[in-house]
Amino acid sequence: MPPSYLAHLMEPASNTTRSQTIVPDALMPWVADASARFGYLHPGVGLNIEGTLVKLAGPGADDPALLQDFLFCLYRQKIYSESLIHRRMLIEGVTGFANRTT
Amino acid sequence: MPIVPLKFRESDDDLLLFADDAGGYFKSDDKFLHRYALGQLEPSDVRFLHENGHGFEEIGDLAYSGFEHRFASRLYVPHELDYVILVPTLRCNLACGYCQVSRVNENTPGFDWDEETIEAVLRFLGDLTTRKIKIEFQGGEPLLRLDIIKRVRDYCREKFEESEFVICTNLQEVSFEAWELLEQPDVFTSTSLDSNPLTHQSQRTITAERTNAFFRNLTAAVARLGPGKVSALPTINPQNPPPPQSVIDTFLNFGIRSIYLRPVNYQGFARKKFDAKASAKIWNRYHSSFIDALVEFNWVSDRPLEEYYFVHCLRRVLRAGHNGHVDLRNPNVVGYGYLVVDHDGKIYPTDEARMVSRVGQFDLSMGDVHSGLARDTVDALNAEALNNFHPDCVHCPYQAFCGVDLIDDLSRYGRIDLPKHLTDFCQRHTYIFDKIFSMIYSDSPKIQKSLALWSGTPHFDVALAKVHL
Ligand code: SF4
Repeated sequence: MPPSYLAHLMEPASNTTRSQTIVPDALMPWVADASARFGYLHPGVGLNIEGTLVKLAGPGADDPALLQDFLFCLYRQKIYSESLIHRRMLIEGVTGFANRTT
Repeated sequence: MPIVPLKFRESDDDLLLFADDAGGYFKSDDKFLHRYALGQLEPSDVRFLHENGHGFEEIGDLAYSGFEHRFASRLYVPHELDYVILVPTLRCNLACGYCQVSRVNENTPGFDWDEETIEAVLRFLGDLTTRKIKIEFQGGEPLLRLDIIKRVRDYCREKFEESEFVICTNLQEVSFEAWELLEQPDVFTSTSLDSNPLTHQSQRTITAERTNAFFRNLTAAVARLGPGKVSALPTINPQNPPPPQSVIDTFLNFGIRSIYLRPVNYQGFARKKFDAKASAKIWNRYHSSFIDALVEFNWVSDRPLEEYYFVHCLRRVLRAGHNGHVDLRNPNVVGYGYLVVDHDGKIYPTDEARMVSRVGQFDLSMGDVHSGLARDTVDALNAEALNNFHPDCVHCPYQAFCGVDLIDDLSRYGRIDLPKHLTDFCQRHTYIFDKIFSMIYSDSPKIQKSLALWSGTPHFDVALAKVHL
């Protein structure tokens, strides 16, 4: 089962499987990047974003692990972008191109 | 307190594995992930992260410097050129099914170094500044040119303070002079032993007579040279692999306790045909069953066995500085620490690059022994040799232990920008590190015994399996 904070809702079964989730506000700035990454990790799954609502459709889209993976993509993008400065500084530091004032 | 970037991945026990860029790792749950990602860490989280080297107060403080040092020691720094693979001939007295691009028939003219090339190779070696040298003779079958091997050996013994020679031979026909050479203290023998006599015959020797000749020579090699001077590598067909136990039994028979399993390395058209995505899966499944069989074996044996590459990866997880395998380094800078000189005097950064060039996919040569090194092409590749900023690896907890193999990507896909999870390299390494971490976090005494043996410690240290909940 996905974690409770996923606010995960299953839509009634139709001819194609669907599921949807609400993106927490704090993760909204990373929806675009996470969607791009999720899209190439799961090319068979359709992704539709309406405000904070993310809908998945296609074969296997009702698998809770898929929604969890979308959420993980969001977390990863947030962690990545917020730690990029640190990571750059680190590699510049050890390779001798340190510019720690930036 | 600032936290160093943590990457995470689901594991088989419903927890998440977290790791930083310096290879520090622990397991926790998705609630911790949520707190970490949203900047809502609790005091107990902060304490744990700080105590385990994932946090610091400010840039340049002791905790940061320690992390920086651990990060730096994970990176591979190419050293001076001291390892040269020489291919004095492409001719071979066997015709193994999957070796078509790296051999020609024994009596085909024009595939050996001529006198001019031999002299150029010796000049090339003479210009090296290293004091120690390792020379590996490959082919074809290098023993067909014993005369060249001896000339190079004599030259190196004169020129360098220390020399080591590895002869990669099929051990099919070993003359009296060849045995004399192999018995020298600075000469090591490497051969192929495809799992068991039946498989070896169907993949390599074809006839019973040749199979018997090989096994006679291998028995003689182990007896005359000692198992420590003979290494044997099994090439496994993942579509039809031998039972792990039969591989173990064969190697035990010869007293060889380190087994380096390799899948068949198809090239060119055959590679495209056989390297469907599924083949990494099949290989990983087989490899995993082999590791399980070794764990069972080691539990009851007082003389352990290992799978060489798995142990190498395990050591990369547990410690920095294990950069001895040319296919698994970060950055994987090629064309500096070692080189390959082909039968025509052309120089390549790796043996795989030689194959890629030979089947006409790309020209990855970097000059030749006559006119010298030309590194433009490989330096263009080297610009992409770091995984730290790769858009996929940057999210992967295995990044610090893993590496890059651009030539493998080029040879399989003709490009280096495929999403990592679609590459054979990533699929194999994801599996290996998944397996390693499932073993590190296992409480099975059998697994812990093998882990201790393979990591070179008297007992498995449970502190290696940190969990923060
Ligand atoms: S190649 Fe794959 S396993 Fe290795 S670091 Fe990159 S994403 Fe992870």
